[in-house]
Amino acid sequence: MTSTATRRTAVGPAVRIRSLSKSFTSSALFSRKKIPALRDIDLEMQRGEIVALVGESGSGKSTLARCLALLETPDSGEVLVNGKDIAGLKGAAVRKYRSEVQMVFQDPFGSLNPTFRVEHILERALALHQPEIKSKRSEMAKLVSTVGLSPDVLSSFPHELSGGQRQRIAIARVLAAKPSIILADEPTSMLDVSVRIGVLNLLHKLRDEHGITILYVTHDLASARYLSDRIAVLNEGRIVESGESVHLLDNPSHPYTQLLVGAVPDPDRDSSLDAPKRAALREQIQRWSTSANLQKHIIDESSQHWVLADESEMT
Amino acid sequence: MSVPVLEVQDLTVEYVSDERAVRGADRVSFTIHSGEIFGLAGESGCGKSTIANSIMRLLKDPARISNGKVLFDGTDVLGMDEAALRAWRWNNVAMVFQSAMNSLNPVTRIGEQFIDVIRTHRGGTRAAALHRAHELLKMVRIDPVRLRAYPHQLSGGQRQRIVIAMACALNPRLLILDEPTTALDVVVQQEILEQIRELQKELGFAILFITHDMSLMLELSDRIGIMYGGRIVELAPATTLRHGSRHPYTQALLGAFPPLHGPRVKLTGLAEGTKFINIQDLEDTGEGHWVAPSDQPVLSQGELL
Repeated sequence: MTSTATRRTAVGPAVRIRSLSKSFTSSALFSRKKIPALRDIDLEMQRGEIVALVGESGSGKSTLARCLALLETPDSGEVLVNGKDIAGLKGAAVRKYRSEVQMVFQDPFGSLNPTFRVEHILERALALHQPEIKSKRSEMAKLVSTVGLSPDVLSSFPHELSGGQRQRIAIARVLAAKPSIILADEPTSMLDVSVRIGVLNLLHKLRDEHGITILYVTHDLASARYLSDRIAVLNEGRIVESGESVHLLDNPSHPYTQLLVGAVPDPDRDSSLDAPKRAALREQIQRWSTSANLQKHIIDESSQHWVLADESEMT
Repeated sequence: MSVPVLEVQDLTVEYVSDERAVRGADRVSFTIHSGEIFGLAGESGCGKSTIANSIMRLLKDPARISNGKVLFDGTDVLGMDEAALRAWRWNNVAMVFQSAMNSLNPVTRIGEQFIDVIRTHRGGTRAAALHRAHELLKMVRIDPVRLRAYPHQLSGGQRQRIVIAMACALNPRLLILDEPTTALDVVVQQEILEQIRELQKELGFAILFITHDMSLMLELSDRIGIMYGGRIVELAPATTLRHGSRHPYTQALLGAFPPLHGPRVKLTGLAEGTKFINIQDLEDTGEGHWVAPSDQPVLSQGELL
């Protein structure tokens, strides 16, 4: 891949997000309320880094990915992708950006048009994003073999493929755009368990072999630990803890992270969190989330591990 | 040994269409003893829900039970007539379905739905039924005031707990849980499982637990059956299965869940397109561990990431 080499020469991180905020308006019959979905997000992703966003439903993790994909417009803050501000991109610049930053969705059943064969689906992506390619046929064969499928699938319809195969086709279509960044929003949660790990391995391979930066959005801590270099934990729209995956999950410091880690089923664990412990953690989360005194505390410098904590409760 | 609560023998279920018949379950046998948690694990389409539905006699056309027996406390379930089935269901065996939280009636208050269930299956006065509903809600740690609430006023986790409480309303001897926590966040899932364990301790029912999540299954179940393509490929106590699984499919399933601790090891899962065909009958390898012989290679766990 020659183009990755030229991309690497660009300076700075692949993604730099600064104090990004986004809120949605919920309008009930007689009231309009602003509900913050993202609050003051700072996040950097280095080139070729895999960062996992974890949190429960409603924590804002998908909204953040959607802001990066230009599917939502942030209320405030700055997003630089490959050094360029993405606010106010128009026309051709948007199209160029969309080849650069591609998204893999949760549902491989809904994201592929059921009336077309795989070859048509990939051909369109190639025609849109890499019109200069002459021999589309061989390029498509290359794409499907990259995602671990045989060229036979090109003549299949999506409904003839299994969920895992379909998700691989969705990833092949993403690759047809030659992206430098992939946003993967729960890419395995609708797949059969035994093929999930294969899709995670594929994403890992794309990073290793093509240098693609990946934002992996998931609620599954174990898979985040398996795939990503770094984890950012989102709670109520804030990144409350972040750091190198293994270090963070071995030393969860925010009560919310502790709650999540304690809830993962783990037959090897002697005792799980009991109800009173969970209640205590919840109370602490509540206290911290409404605190006026939040500060980033470094837990471990070398693994970039920090926690957003209440000043008075950190010593 | 005492008569098991549930005995499934050689159960075969076929989905029949004009051209062909597909076997949803193929000569499946297992037993569940009183107070035991038995897990059925496998992926979508492996037949685990088909088994649950056949035990409850809920299968509809084109499904047909073509062979086998289901014995509940020694009584033949497949031979019951409609009246006997009505008396048996919910009183003796209750089921919580996948995404059961959406199975509550949206236009009826929770309390009314409890009263319906209790009076339909056991009779008695409204007051007595309401009293029981109070007790049940307390058991699942929801304020009984919420009996006046409509389902949409409760969170997904609360609704799921209410459905489980409803299933326990008549002290069944067996509770069938089909993916009871699939749509829920991890913390809520943990709470629900705790609730199930507590209820089980208090009421002493046996559980048939169905899920595709192996870590969940290992944590909750006493004994586990692994299903593939309608057949059980391995059957063993949970601890045996965790450290000494023999069938390559079981190992692939176990290998599909990365651990939260220890070194990061590359997992393989099941390669795209791997198929097991002609699965043989289970063979006893001792200590309650049954395995279907397989000539496919045993998976090795790979290198460090």
